[in-house]
Amino acid sequence: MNYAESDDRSLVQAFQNGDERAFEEIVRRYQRQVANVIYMTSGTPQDVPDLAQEVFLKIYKSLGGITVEHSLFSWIYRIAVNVTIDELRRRKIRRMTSLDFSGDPEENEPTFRDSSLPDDQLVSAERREQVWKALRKLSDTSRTVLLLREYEELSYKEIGDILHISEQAVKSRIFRAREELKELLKDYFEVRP
Amino acid sequence: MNHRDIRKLISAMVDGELDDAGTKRVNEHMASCPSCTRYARALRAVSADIRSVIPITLPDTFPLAVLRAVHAEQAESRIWMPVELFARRFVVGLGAAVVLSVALAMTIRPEEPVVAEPYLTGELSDSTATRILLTKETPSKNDLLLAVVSPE
Repeated sequence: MNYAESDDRSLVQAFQNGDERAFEEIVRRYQRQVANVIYMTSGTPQDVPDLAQEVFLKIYKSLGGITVEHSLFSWIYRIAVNVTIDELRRRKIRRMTSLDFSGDPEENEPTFRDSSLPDDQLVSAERREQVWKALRKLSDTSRTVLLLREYEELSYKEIGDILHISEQAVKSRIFRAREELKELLKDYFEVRP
Repeated sequence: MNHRDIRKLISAMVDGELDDAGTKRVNEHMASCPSCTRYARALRAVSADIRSVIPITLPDTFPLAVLRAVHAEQAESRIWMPVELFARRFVVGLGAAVVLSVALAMTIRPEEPVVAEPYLTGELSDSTATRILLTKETPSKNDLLLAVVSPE
């Protein structure tokens, strides 16, 4: 059976009835989002494949016991965030116990779509780098809500479904996240014409 | 409405989540407020910059790689399952044996033989009672009884 057209609920049911191809389709459907959640949370692209695999292994183990009432993505999203945060925490502990402070958390900067080019565009690249660094400094709550909006381009309702909060709360959180960002990017907000 | 309230509306407007009435109110405010106009422009620019980060893509073979990992983990747990089962049974058995041994030891431990006090059997006693009696200036009734039955 081809599951490409099936909705999430049918996929979960098919998997629970023992069809692994349904799981394969779930991975195919959500691998991009999971990869980007991990990337945005950890900031290191080289972590993404391993952590994404860990996320889907967890999903495989737990999928048998869930019922999809709201959004499957919201469930997957939370697993992805938790796995990544756990990994970051483990690393922090390892760094503290080994007294190894040599690693620069900002050494793995992301690449930007057009950062390679003439002067004015290099200025843009520099500005984007600033935005990226500021984004990394936001609290987890603020970064998550902002990335779901800006990067995944989800509506307030979809974000609310994922985070189990009202649309009004989403609106407030996004505004607060932008206010935090504004503090971190004072030049950006004040100097721009 | 103060600037902060307007900026909250601007944030929703930038996201396309503000209704017509709100949008009208924001536009009216911005027409006479360069600061909030700059804020709206900066928000749009930040949005564009966030979106300009190249998305990570995993290879098309990723779902198969995940399934391979799932199967490898299942195979490994199948290998270790008998060992784990044996270890679990061993630990449970050992625990049961310890509990049983303690219970048996408590049940079948021979009781201390009841030894009659030497002063009751007529033997010379060096029991504490006798020694106390000998040192008592004003012995009690019990002390006297002990003294009578103890052959001094």
